[in-house]
Amino acid sequence: MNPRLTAVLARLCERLGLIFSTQAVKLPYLVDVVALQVLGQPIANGTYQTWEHGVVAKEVFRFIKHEAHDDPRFRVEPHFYSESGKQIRLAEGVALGSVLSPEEIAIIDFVADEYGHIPPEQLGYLTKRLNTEVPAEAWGSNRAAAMNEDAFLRLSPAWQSLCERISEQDLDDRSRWSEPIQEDPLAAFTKALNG
Amino acid sequence: MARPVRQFEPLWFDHQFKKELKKLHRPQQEKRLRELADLVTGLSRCSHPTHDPLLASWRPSAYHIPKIPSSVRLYEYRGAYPLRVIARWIEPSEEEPEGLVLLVAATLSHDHERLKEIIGNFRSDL
Repeated sequence: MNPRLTAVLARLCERLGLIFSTQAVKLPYLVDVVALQVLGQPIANGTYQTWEHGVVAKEVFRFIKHEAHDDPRFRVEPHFYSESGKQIRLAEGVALGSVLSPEEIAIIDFVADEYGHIPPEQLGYLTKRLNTEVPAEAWGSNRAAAMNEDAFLRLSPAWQSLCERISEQDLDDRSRWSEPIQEDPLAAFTKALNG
Repeated sequence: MARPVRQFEPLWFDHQFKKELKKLHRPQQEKRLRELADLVTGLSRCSHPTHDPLLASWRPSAYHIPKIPSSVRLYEYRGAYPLRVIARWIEPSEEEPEGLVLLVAATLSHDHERLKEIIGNFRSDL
């Protein structure tokens, strides 16, 4: 794992304490989506892919599964919710290096505070909602996840909320469809706005 | 219109969207409504939900979200920032001989206020 991705993971652990592997593999993606738009470049520079349950930083997954137990900076522990799931935290007494600038730390902390407390399965949905071009059957194909401005905009609370509201609807329920717009659409929308 | 366009009443022009629209000054409000009306015209006449030049300025793309079955074909249309529209495309069938477009939702809000506030401590150009 590159030193900056390691530093991002460490900062997330420092901010959040013990985190599930699901969070550890997904939160760096959100960090880089934000950083790319706000700072003009990613912080962690991970390889972000569309796995079955959402976007995953491939290197973090590999690190937790195969390498972290040899890294004195981290502690990896099993948890009881899932046979394959793990939790990761910073080892006690570890002093973090300063490879991150104050701006970068502010972005990581923002992501930790805003998205670090979302239940893991919801975090998966959230990363999927940043990649709405990806059809359901393509999740698991490990293609590159979106890192563009669209992904950043879709992270906004209003957009996430809109996606959730759409997800909850039965769009086949014709009783909730209006009559076709017959008149001038502009007049119809003006009426809808003021109605 | 060639293809009927309907509105999904629970979400289209819902309270939130109307609130966002009403926050705008009147000329801006009218501009947004005209944009939406133009989109409706485009959707009613186009031959394809994403590839028709009539819709090119909207930079359309497929819109897949969790829990919505893949048989429900949704598309995202991008107006002048920050307007976004989600619409459902239904191919012609016995039930809908001309096909149908269902306007599902629109938003004008992509706020990252808290982020701006935090990062604003470091940069003044956000």
